[in-house]
Order: sequence, then C-alpha cells, then structure tokens
Amino acid sequence: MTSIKTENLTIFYPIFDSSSRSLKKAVVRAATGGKIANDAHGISVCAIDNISFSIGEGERVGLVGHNGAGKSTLLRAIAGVYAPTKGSMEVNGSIVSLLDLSLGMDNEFTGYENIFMRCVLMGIGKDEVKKHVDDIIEFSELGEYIRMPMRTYSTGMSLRLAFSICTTFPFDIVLMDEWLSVGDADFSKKAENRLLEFINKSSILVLASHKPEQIEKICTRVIKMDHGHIIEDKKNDNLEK
Amino acid sequence: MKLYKSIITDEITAITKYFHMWSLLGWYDIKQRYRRSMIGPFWITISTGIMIGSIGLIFSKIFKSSIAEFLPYFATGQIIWLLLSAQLTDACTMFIQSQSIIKQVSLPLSVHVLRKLWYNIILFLHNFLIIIILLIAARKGFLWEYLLVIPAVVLILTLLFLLSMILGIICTRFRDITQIVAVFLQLIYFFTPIFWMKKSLATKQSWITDLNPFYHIIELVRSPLLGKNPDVYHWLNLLMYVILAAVITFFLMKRFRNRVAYWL
Repeated sequence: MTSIKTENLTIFYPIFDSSSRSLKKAVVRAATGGKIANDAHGISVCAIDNISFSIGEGERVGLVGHNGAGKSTLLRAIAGVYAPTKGSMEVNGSIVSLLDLSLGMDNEFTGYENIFMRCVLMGIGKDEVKKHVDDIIEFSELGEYIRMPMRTYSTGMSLRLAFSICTTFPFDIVLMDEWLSVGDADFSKKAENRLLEFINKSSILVLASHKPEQIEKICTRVIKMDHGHIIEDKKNDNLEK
Repeated sequence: MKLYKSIITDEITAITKYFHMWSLLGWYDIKQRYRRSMIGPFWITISTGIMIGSIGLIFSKIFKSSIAEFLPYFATGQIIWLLLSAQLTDACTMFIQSQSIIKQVSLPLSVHVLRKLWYNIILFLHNFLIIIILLIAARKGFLWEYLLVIPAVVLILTLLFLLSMILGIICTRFRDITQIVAVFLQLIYFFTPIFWMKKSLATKQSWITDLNPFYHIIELVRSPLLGKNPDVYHWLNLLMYVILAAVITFFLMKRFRNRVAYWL
C-alpha cells in the first residue's frame, strides 16, 4: 500500500557562514520567507513548521505557495533526503524524484553511457536498463547521436535524453518540482503524453508548481503552503475528468 | 524516524546491496578522468613508475644503499602511501562533490565512500603493476610471504573506509579540516619511513616511527613483499586502529548521519 504520512513534521535548516550574521539573517529573511530561529547551534531557518498530512494511493497532490514557502524542502523530506528535525515522515513505496532530470549525467560520456549512469542513480540495475535501452533511445529521437559524447548535444537534446530515461521506469511515488516540458512543439506534445502515462503508472504524484493552471489540470488535491505551514488543503473541484 | 540501529545496518548492507551503483560510479570516475587518452589509467602507472625510478636512483646514491635494496623498498612504500593519501584527501570532499546526488536521492552514505574507495583501488592496482614488475625483476621467485599482503590490504581498506566516513562527515561540516588534512598528510610523509629507512634512525628517535600509524600500515604490506614476515606488533596496531575508527564512525553516524544533507 503506497502512502506518505507525516505527523508534526518540522524541519530546521542550519545556516553556516556566520561571519556576517546579521546581514545574512536579513538577506535570508527577505529571500525565503521562512521563519528564522536562533537556537543554541547558531542561526537556522525553519523551513517546515509542524505540519501533518497523509497522502494515500491514487492521489495527485499539487503543492503551491510562493518562493521559499517550503515546497522543495517538503519534496526533499518525502524523498528521504532531509530527516525530520522533529515529528515523523513515513513513506511506503518506491520513490523517484525528478528535481534534477540529468542528475549524474556527464558531458564527456556518450549518450549511451549516460543512460546507464542516470539509471543507476535511480537504483535500476544494468540488466533492467539493457532491456529498455532501445526504447529510451528511440523515444529521445537521438538516433546515431547516442554514440557521441553528450557535449556535442544541444541543450534540447540532452534534456530529451534525460527525460526519456526518467520516464521509462515506473515508480510508486513521483516527486516533481514544476511540471516537465521538454523539446520543441512536436516533441513536447509527445513528451506530455509520455509523462501523463508515466504518472498514471505511479500511485502517488506530488507536484510543486508555480503554475495554478497546471495544477488544476492534473492534481486531485491542492496543498497551499506559506512560511512552512499548510494554509489550505482541499480537493481540486476544477479537475477535468 | 529511522532507528539508529537500522541506519548502521543500512550503511553496512549498502556494500552489497548497492554494489552495482558504487562500482559503476567509481569506474565512470576513472573513465571520465582518462577520457580521450589512448592508454587511459596506465598513465598513472607510467607517472608513478618514472617518479619511483628517478627518486629511487637519486636517494639510493644519497643514502649509499644499493639500488637493488632501495628501489623495491621505496616503490612498495610509496605505492601504498599513494593509496592512503589519495583516499584520505578525496574523502574530505567526497560528500561535497556528490551533493547533487545526496540532495536528490536518499542513499546510504557508504555508497559515496565506496565510490571514491573503488576509484582509488583501481588506481592502486594500476600502480601495483610496478611492484609486480620489480618483483619479477628481482628473480626471487614466489615467496609464501607475499600472500600476507592480502589480509593486510583487506584490513587497510576497511580502515580507509571507516576513516573516509569520519573525514567525510567532519569535513562537510567544518570545511577548514580539508586543508588541515592536506597539510598534515604532506608533513607526515616526511616522518614516515618511505624514502628513508628505519634503521637510519638512532634508537632514541625510534618514537618517530613507533607512534606513526602510517609506518605500521605501510610495513604490513611492504615487508611481506620484500620477503619478510611482518612483526605481530604491526598487526596489533592496525587492528587497534580499525576498532578505534569503527567506534568513532559508529558514534558520528548515530549522531550526525541525518545532518550531512543539511550541511551541504
């Protein structure tokens, strides 16, 4: 049973470089909107402040809120990167976080090598990758370029490859920071369909986005965050069936 | 929240569970470094070989010892030293280097440590060719003592793994330690009998080597390769370091494992 459950989740971020403490403090406050606490260990930002919620199977959750409201931190906490400072975070199911699509990929390597590089970081073994490698290459439309080092690619080409890799293997939980759109008009239509298909195979989607229309189109539930709090948690009534 | 116990088990089982991950990442690091070069990592064999050959020649003259005695001595010591110092230096920055991964995917920290360790083991094996060549050139045939190198290397790698974890965690939090480690390694090199021999020290000064962990570590690989059975005393020292490092690693893990991502 795939699920995400948090109780009284609180995350404090330590801020180092305290050479210019007060200036730093001011800058951080202006830029993030997170609450800044001053504890015994120095300055820290309270990015997530005592929130509780649970997400069950089949839910498509949209996270909204302005910059620094705590959306990305929450995504990272779900991914298990940030352990809770207080409270708990319980996640059941395999997770893929698409915060940085081209994670681990290197320009000196060929596209083909990069497929293995990217996949291994998603925890996918060689044999599994080999089974799907043709499909990845075909979808990315790179053709012969796949044998060339990635530094010869255009930005669009590298992104297409990364996108094709990341949407090949289904996971229970998908975490996304902004809806992915890649490539030119033709490819972007094709990519949109593939992404929807990929998400349909998953059980839970958590999407942080600044675009309300995107969230309305996809999500079943919208969580609005501000200063590390949840200020609104409601069903999306406008969802087109 | 995960229990401490399960954190530790996760870190240890990662060695086998994430084998395909760290071995591939480490290997790709090598591939990346030697991309577009014809002989690839064998450059390291060549550069170490030239360095050992020329310094060996000069110092055997300075110390008035025969080249047949000094060269294998210097080569084995130097090559183990290169493994130790490279791994310890890299350990200080490995989490910082992998920060994009650490901040996106939840993985045991061991994966990053093993990636670096594997990288340095591969380089070490390339350097080890020089030792093999020298052993063949010495025409002593196969000695049973050589086999003692295997347990010694296994213990040394265990120690390096633990020390890397310790340095990795501390240096991620306190970035200055990286520089201190670099300076320290430079200094300790001169205090370790690698290009000089212990017998040239007066008995009164023997504390310089006796208190130096690097001496005991190097001696455990060097003396079997030179056909001598190392003192039990060296084994005990190394064993003690491993246990000590394991205890420190355990406490650092327990206390700070979950903080590393925040420090990046």
